[in-house]
Amino acid sequence: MASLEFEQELEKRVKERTAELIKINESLNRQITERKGVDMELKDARARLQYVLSVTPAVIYTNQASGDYACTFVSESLEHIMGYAQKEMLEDPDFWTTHLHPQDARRVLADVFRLIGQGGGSVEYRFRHCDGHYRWFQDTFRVINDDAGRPLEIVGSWADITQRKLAESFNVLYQASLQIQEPLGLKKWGDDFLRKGREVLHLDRLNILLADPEGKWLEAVSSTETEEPLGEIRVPIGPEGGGLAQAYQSRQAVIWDGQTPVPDTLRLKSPYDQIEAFQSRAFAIVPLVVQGKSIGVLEAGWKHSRRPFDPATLEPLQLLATQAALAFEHARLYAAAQPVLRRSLQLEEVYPAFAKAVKALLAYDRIGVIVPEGEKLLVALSVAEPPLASWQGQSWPKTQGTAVDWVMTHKQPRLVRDLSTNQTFSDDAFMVQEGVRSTLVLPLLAGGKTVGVFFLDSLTPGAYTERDLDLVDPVAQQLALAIENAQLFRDIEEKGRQIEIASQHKSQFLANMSHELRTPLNAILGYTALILDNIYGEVPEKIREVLMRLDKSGHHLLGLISDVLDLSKIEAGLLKLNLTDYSMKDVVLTAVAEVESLAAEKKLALKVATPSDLPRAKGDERRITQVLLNLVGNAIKFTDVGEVRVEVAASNGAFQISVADTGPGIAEVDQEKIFEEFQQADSSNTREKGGTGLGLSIAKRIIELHGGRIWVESSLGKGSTFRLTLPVHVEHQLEAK
Amino acid sequence: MSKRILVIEDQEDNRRILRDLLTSVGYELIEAVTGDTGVTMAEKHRPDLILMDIQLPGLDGYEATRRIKANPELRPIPIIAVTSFALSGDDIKAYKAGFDAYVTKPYVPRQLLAKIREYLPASDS
Repeated sequence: MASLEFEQELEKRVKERTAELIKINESLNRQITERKGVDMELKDARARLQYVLSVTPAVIYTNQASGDYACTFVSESLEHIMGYAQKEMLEDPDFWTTHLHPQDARRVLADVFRLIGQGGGSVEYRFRHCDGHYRWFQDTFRVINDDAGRPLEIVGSWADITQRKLAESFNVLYQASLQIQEPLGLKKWGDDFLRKGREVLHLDRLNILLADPEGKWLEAVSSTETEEPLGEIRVPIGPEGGGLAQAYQSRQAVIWDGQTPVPDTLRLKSPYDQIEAFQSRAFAIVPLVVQGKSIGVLEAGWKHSRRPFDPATLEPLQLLATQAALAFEHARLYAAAQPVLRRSLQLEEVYPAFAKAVKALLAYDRIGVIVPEGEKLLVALSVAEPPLASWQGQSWPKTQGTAVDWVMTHKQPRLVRDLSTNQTFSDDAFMVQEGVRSTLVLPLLAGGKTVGVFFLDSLTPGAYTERDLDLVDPVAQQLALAIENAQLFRDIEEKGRQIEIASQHKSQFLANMSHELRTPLNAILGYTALILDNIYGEVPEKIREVLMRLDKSGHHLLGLISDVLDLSKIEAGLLKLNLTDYSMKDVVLTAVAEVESLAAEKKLALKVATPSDLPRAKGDERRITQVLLNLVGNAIKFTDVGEVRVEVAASNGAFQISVADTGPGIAEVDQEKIFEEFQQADSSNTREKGGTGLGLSIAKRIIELHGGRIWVESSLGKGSTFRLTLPVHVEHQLEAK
Repeated sequence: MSKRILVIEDQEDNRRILRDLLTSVGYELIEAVTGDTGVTMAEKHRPDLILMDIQLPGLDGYEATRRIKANPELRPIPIIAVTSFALSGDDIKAYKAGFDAYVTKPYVPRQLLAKIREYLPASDS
């Protein structure tokens, strides 16, 4: 039985063992299976990571966090983003620092060390591509610490942000392009623009050539100052102009990669072949096109022929060209419109110039300018393409709730991309019916005042963008100024008319005044004279004496009236010289003859010295006689003993006339005063000596109207000499002072 | 027969001064107060000389003179403007209207007389 028991025992153990084994096996199998799954997962994840790293536009890297910060890992993407093999970076500890852009290196190293101290961060810089050009990267990293908090490694990524930087630069360029307002600034603007463009695109040469108005030449207007600027060069638009002319004419970019000699068709022909770089190296010529029309070309070049033309550069170059074309066209139109807009006060000239300037900047199916006129709105300009109707000359009442009213009131532009889905104002529905889909309405502001609005309508939805506002705004503001100028001019004209009417009134008033004062004076002086002539019987001596005084006062009053009127006429600018030929000798003799009896009465010697060869003269004979009469009359009046001497000479186209007396003389302080109104050297003289005190003042003005000068030389007790110079030929009356 | 002078003047005082002055030296005077009656009287009375004010009610002196000078039978009659329009240019306007002479108010009576005698020699009066 023992053996049976043993056998049974053995059998049991085997079973148990087998079960164990199966269990182990199962466990093992399970483990194996599990292990297999893990392996699979691991394999998958790595593959995925590999995939992710290879397709990501970023380069992933790890660095040592101390020592020489050597690179411990870098993703494969390094190769297709930067053109370097992974091992180039892994084997060279200085790889990163030596490939930084020299202008960025100092800043970037300082920033990176500072950020490592802070546990991580982000920094932007330029890094050299294996073909030599630089691209912009954003480098974002974190410092990984061990359990003890010591820096273990740096994990980071580089993202290529060249496109974003380009976009930013273009925005800068775009903004710059809006700033050029005058042709004088164009050259400087062009140079700045190109310099920025050259930096952004890593070019060695960038030039702009514009076509001349006849379309015969391309002329360099701007160039970067580096290698071989085109300077004064101009190239004919034709076969001799090679690639430059070809790009201009075909409106297609012409590119040469610089790997082989430039083909004959693209070469500049003698004598225009002086641009050496252009003959042998990589270049791209992009036409400057505005609204389908070539206005010039943008020429870009690379210094190193080993660097092939990068097709990726073409797109930004095209952008640059578009921008430059627009800016130059903008500037040109602006310059062309400027004289009309700025100088013309005739709005009939301004509006067409404005419509033309805008047409070249933006497409429209209808353009219009609306200006307020009293309580109405007048469509001062409207040009429309069918089916839209021009509103030229129409007049509407000012109505609230319209787009025009809103723009005028709020001084804000209105831009609608699609009117069919965005109808805010009362007139929008009508516009949609007409077929208008997009519209742009700008206020015309001058000195903070709305002088009108300007609108563009288009049948195309989305025809206008925010950027277009900036584009047309300077031209619109010029128009606003022109409208304001024209209005000011109209106001001034109106004021001038009013002044003229006022002056006519004044003139009429003076005439009436003269007439009305003379009429009663005629009765006074007339009766007095008749009585004195004994017409009404013999007049007793005592009454005669009084009547003589009455007569004298009456004549003094008459003199005053004449002088005051003369002076008022001069002051009002109403005194018109009657310029005719005259003889100075006759004038002098006439004046002297008039006062001869007065001199004889006072027993004064009246001497006249006129050379016989005085030239024929031109001037207002009557007024000049009046002046001389006044001077000689005064001299006689104020001189009691001695002589009055009149001398005339002519030299250098002018008469020199002097009237000298042996009278009391005039103190120096009074010598200026006597030419002012109602001033005599000694006012107590007025009544005694007669005269109104206006004579010299009138004489001075008459002489000045002739372009002459009058003054006195005198000292007390030594007599006075009045001198005057008078142009022999006076062709125009001067302004009264 | 004394010479007949037509005075056309709206102001009483001025008419009287002329009347007193001219009759004192032997002229025969006829008077009109307006331009219209002045023209009518010139046609009717054929004076030897006319003294004409310019600012008159109704027809003014310029127009009255124009009408008288437009009549061939009256044209030889000398017309002297006696006027307070004494500003520069007023004389030219007067000559253009057809006046033969121009005397401004206030006039010196003797000078006016001398002017009249230029047209009416003293021997005839």
